[in-house]
Amino acid sequence: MAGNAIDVNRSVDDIVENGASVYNVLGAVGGTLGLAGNFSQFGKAVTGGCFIAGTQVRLCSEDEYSEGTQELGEEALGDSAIAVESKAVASTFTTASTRSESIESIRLGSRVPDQNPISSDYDFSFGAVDAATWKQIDVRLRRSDGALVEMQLLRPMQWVEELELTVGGTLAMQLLEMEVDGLAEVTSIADCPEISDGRGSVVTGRFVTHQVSNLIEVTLATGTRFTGTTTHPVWLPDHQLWVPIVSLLEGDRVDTLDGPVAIASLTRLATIANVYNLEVHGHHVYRVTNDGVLVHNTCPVAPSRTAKAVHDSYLNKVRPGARERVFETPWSSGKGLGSRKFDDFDFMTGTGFEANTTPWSTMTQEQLSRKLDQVGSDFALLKTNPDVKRIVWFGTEPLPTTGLGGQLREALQKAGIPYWVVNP
Amino acid sequence: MTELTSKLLVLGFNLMPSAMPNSKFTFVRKRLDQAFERVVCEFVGKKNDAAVCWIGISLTHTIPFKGLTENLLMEDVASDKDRGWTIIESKDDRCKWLRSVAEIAVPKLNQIAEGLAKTLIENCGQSLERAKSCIVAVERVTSVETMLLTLKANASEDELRVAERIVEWPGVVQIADSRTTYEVAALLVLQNLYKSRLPNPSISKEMPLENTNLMWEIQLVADSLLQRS
Repeated sequence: MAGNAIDVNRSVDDIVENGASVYNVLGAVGGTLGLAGNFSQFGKAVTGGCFIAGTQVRLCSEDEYSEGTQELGEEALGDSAIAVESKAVASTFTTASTRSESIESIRLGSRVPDQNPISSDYDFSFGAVDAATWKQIDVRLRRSDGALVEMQLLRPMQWVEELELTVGGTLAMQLLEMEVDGLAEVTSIADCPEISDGRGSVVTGRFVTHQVSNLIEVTLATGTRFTGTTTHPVWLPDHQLWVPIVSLLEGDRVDTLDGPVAIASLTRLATIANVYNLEVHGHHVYRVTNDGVLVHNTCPVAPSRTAKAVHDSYLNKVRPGARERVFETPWSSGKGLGSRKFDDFDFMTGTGFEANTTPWSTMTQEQLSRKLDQVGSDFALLKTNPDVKRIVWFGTEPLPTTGLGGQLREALQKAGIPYWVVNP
Repeated sequence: MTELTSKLLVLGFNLMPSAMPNSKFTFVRKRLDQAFERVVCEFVGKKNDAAVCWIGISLTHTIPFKGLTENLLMEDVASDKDRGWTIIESKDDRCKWLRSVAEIAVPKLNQIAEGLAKTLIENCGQSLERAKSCIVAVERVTSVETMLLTLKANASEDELRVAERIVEWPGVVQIADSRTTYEVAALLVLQNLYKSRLPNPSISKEMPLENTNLMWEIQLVADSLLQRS
């Protein structure tokens, strides 16, 4: 790979000078999102955790069909069943049982060898990928530094409906490691493509970031080379850590399908290129080059899940084990609002719970309208549904007395619905 | 569900159509008095993995409405006594739970049905009587569309305006795509009301959901029409 070499270890020295060894810093940060955030200072310019075109990605061969895995996946009875699925597929993959394809050509729905070594990194919150109930959503946005990011995602239909996504509409996204934080435009919503049969985890996202400059070429002792962005995490089995490429050292051993292989050299490139990344369902890992170097997919499972994740985490702290309950409301379906879904429902007391983590100061008129519709539905349910005895709204912030939040406060009061401030 | 459905069918229950056919199952059986017995199984949560059962009595067949329906949570078939549900993790769990509904919930319903039905009928006696007289007036008409045309032809402008306003209020129409039925029910109830006493202008101004008797009468009439159709 052509390009001007820059002393990569210089950046590592900078970290050490700042008061901690490379691996202590990594250990302290923990997750890959944090890693990317911390190390982005060393890879400024246009950045993003990805690989250049032509980088080979190992795919599961479709003839490696595993009947047992498929049956378990189809059950989709919940996280426990999916966890069983992950165990079932977490057998060893070899170069013989996989094949390679360039990262830019990988199609959504393909399967890649999985087995993330950090089990706490697993995320099966969307359940098993099912072409019948999932959709493909294409979005694009321009980052604040001018870089264009295009994304194709597979997501459950329910997720699309919950976010009320429409073509031409917007989707709030926050991908810290790709320095994306803003509104993306939804360019297409289409049927889910065919999901490959067999072992491995499904590719649920493709990302292209245009004109990126923070590239490093990694050469292994086997002679294999790959070029990725500074922030992209690679697994070091000897340290049991995900380490961004910028922090790799010559001699570090990476994980390949044939076992650990040492890094021979690292070269910082001055080239500018489009870079590609994948999102892998559940395990969030894939393998690059013909050797199968284990890398993280670095992307959070869902753009805009940041807000949802905050909501769900808060809800689970306030109402551990919360399970949503849906009430079909004919009066709201006419307005295209569908059903009324409570975040949790206490069957012993007939109480519906609605958790709020939207900062009132940032609430938009559209969000207010949606919440006012919910209040209307709640009032009707309280008056008419024999199962609903009480409804409680709660949130992290007190409702303001003025502005949009003030309107919501007034509506809740009129409907006789209490609002509690709960900060667990 | 097949096993439970078969068992309940033998006992005279019918499986009702549901807006949530994969997660909510309601079985209804007519009693000798004016009430209906109900067994409701619902699977809640994003993955429908928490099962809940109610037994209850209702004065309506299709529309469970507050005051006309009394449901009791079946804690006896719940493994989580704090939440009232049973977590379903496998097909076996589901079968086991459904079997317990048939074995425990139905006998329990037999025990409580008599008392609950009596209380409901007493509480709603006036509305039941008034609803009956509304239905008698149009018993021979076969379709709700024809019924509505006839009623509209004979209704005053005030009655039409008030009826329309009532039906548009969120929460009045309880079953999707049944606006015509509710328009008929509202007109029948209003005409009956206007006939029996001086026209009550306050009805056009108040929130219909706050007028319990009015809502009960409309729901009882609508339910009767839905049963006929």
